[in-house]
Amino acid sequence: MGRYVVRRLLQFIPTVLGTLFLLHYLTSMAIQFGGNPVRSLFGDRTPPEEQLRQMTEQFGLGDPCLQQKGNPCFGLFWERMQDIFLRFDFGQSLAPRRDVTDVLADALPYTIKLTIIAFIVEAVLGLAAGVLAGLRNGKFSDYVVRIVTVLMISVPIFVSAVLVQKFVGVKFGNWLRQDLDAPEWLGRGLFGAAYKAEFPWLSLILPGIVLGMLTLASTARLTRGSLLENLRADYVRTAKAKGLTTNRVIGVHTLRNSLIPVVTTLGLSIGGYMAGAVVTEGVFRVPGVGFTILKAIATGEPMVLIGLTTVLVLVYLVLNLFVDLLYAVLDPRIRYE
Amino acid sequence: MAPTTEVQARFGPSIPGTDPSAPLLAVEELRVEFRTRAGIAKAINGVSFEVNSGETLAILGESGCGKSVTAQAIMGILDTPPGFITGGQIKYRGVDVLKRSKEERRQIRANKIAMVFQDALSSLNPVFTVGFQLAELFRKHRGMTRSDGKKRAIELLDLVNIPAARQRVNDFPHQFSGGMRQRVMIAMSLALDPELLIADEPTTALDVTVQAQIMNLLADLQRERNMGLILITHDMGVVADVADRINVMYAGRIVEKAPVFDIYAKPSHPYTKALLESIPRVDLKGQQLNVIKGLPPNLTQIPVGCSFSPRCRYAQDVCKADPPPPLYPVQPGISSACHFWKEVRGDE
Ligand SMILES: Nc1ncnc2c1ncn2[C@@H]1O[C@H](COP(=O)(O)OP(=O)(O)OP(=O)(O)O)[C@@H](O)[C@H]1O
Ligand SMILES: [Mg+2]
Repeated sequence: MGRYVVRRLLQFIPTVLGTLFLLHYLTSMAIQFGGNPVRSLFGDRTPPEEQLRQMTEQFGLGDPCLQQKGNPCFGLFWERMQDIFLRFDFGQSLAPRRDVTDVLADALPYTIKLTIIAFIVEAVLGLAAGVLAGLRNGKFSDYVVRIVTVLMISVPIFVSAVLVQKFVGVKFGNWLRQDLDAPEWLGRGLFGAAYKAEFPWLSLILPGIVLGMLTLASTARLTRGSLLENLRADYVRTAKAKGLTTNRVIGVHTLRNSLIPVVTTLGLSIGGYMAGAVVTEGVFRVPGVGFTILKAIATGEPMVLIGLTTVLVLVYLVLNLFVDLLYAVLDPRIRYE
Repeated sequence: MAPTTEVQARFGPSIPGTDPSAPLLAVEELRVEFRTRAGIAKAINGVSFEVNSGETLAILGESGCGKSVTAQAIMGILDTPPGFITGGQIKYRGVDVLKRSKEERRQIRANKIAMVFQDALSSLNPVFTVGFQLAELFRKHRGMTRSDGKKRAIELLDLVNIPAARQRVNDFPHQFSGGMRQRVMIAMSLALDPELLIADEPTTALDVTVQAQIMNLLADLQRERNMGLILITHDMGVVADVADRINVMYAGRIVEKAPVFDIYAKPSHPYTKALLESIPRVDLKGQQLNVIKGLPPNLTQIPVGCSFSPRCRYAQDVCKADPPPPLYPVQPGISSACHFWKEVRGDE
């Protein structure tokens, strides 16, 4: 097991470097074709040549390769990787001028909260709906779950985020706030159209649900299918033949096996939230990692983009590894060599 | 009342209405059908037999004739839907269990009738240790603690001759060999001292030497405990040594009943005869094997007459025209569902 973990950790290296190089190349090209972003700090003024050169150097953008269109800037990439992984120096953002690590530290808690809410929504509702549908196979509730989940799967998250914001956050929220004179926490917190700093958890619930819905449907369907498959398994018949109660036959002997593949998708969906967070946080204006990345793209902040993405990629990879290890714990037939 | 509770502690609660002098298990005119998209498959079409304590009944027949379905119907673990019991009675000590509540049937499964399945690997739960799966029985049905249950599990593994039981009790099913797994299954079925054991092809997945070991183990345990044993198989060779009586099954019907010795000496039904002739024999090595020509009928469209008639070399017009023949008494203890049993036996 230990050797397996080490090998997997070593496999992280090419993945992380590959992803980061791609980002590095894209942001470098943005500079090569779009011009020095430091210049924009001076607004309409034309900065003195010496001052501009000095500042550009300070932001780590002084490498001459950034003036040669199409140059992949391998040297600069190598320097950046050394800064990030050896000195834990993620560079600075341009405006306002701050350490990227600070930007990250500010944004991360929001994304973590959002992820927790989304995960609870997905795990609780997804599992419950899947188990219900599986046990009532072919009955009314099964059809309801199957139809609703198909609808949910076919709506992309940028559509569902905007729709939920408009109809729940704005229309329903306005009705609560104006016509019903609902309390603050309800009207502006739970059913607000955007994140409010006064309600750090409540106002994240709606975006969290939107994010969780991204994978809830597939979790429910997977749970249902897995349960149905296991209900037909020979060992379930054995459990019945042993005279165990139905609760135990299903709750212990069937569920335990059915949930093995579900746990995997649950783990991986947290990785999916990282991508979903960019959209959800953007729509609901949650100042998390995704929102910050969106802003960094819009304003051309290469170091913010690279730093935050590094963290997202690492989180995703570590989760992946964790899920694989969990799999081995749940299914004794799997042993990693 | 002390003795009763002692008995209960060992054998579980007794089933109300049972008569100790009635046969251990009597199946009467059992009918089972599967309602599937392809139509209604009549899997069991009026099967009757009886087993008593200390007796081994073999049910013999080729694949798909309904052996497992019969066993599942007795246990009450038929997949419903698609399977439905449409007629007949299953009497445990004189009580028709089909009329009893789900809870009482569960109690019977837990304490009175146990089953060993064909494929031990898929029949044991892959994610629990064999110790857990054995101890579970004592914990749930005898109210034992986890550690007492585990002690009993080790004793059981010892009983079925698993070496190093104390260590192996913590292993998972996939860590055992095929023969060992089947021993675990047998241990599990015997855990709560059942009165009747149904073994559904317990040795089909195993190689020949292991087959013999498992059969001997089963036979020994049955004798020691004076259990009733229903041995389901499609292999005539396997049951010859251990069974007392044989019921031969074809397309959901029993076509011949006889003591083991008689059936080998002188079969009374053409199907049994063909089965015997299809056993490979060392003294006839090199000659062509006598396989039974043709296929069993499609259970969704069983022909009007005797369902074996299309493959039968004794068949005449009456076999196809008349309803399937009843079990004709041939001799005391022997009956055959063939109009021409005399010709088959060669008696005049
Ligand atoms: N769940 C089911 N759904 C539909 N048909 C079934 C089902 N289970 C059994 N059958 C049908 O019932 C018939 C008898 O099956 P059964 O499993 O009893 O055969 P068997 O005699 O045990 O054969 P084998 O030696 O292969 O185990 C078969 O034709 C089978 O197709
Ligand atoms: Mg079978």
